[in-house]
Amino acid sequence: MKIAVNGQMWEFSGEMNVLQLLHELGMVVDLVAVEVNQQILDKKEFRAHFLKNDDRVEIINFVGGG
Amino acid sequence: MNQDEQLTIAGINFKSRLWVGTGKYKNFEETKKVIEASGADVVTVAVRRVNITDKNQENLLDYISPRQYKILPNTAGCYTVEEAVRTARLARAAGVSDMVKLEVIGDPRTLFPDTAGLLEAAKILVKEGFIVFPYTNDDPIVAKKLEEIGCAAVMPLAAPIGSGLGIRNPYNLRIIMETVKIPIIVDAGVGTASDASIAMEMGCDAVLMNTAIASAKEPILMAEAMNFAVKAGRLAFRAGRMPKRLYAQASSPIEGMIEQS
Repeated sequence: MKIAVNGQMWEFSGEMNVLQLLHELGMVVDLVAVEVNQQILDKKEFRAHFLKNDDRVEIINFVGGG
Repeated sequence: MNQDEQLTIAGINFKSRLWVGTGKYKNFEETKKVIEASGADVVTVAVRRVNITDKNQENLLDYISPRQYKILPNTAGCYTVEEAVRTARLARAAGVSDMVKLEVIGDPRTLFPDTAGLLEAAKILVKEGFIVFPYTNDDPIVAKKLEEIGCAAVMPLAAPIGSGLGIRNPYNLRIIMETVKIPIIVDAGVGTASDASIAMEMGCDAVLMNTAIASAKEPILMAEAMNFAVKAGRLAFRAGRMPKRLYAQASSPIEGMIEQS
């Protein structure tokens, strides 16, 4: 399964939900927001939302800014 | 020192009238020390893609805990209503705040707001229950419209972002203060402590800054200076300044002078 994460192509084998993707990428779930195909997911949906081939995922967090 | 009256916006109590940004510091350790020295309890942050190739990258919020500080995500870098709204929604989904510092920028050189876009984005976000802090020009008409839309405060610029030019148009800020009932937070353009004091002496409710502290030779010292400046300016506002006069008026009594023999 090929997924674009933050504009980069990643390849994963087998089924994967958003929570598993975040763990795979080493993300701290508390501090991020996730969008799949431009739909923002509630954190409660991370486990139930399974990714599909060609999904476009955006993972954001906070950086220094004014 | 006199106890200042509390700043409350949208039912949220704020400890300090100095709000600070977290950009441009050499590392998160410095950011943390600066914020501590500033006494601020509101810190602005930007919303960006996570660096997924570096798993060991540190996180700003590990240093600036959302339990300790009120996190105010911004929509900096957004040039359209759609981008700004999407960024605000993502920021809220991260789960640290319903507040958003709404920026819709109109031009990369001046970073002046696109006020038409700002009004449109503010309308959408207010409807969605966001606590909207719009960064705007020092335009009383736009400020009034932002109030009517239901923004929590209005954040007029003092001068262009990062310019450090100080308050270029105190008269417009005064008119804005007379025009709207919501709090006024001067945002952008402050260069040094006296600029922050002037804004507060005029009666603005708070001041938000980033570059004035981050680009100082000693950011931690400047943060402390700004902390005092905002407090001093607020006290002076509450105390009420003396009227300006063209000619002298003696401070010492004229009666009882020693006669020349």
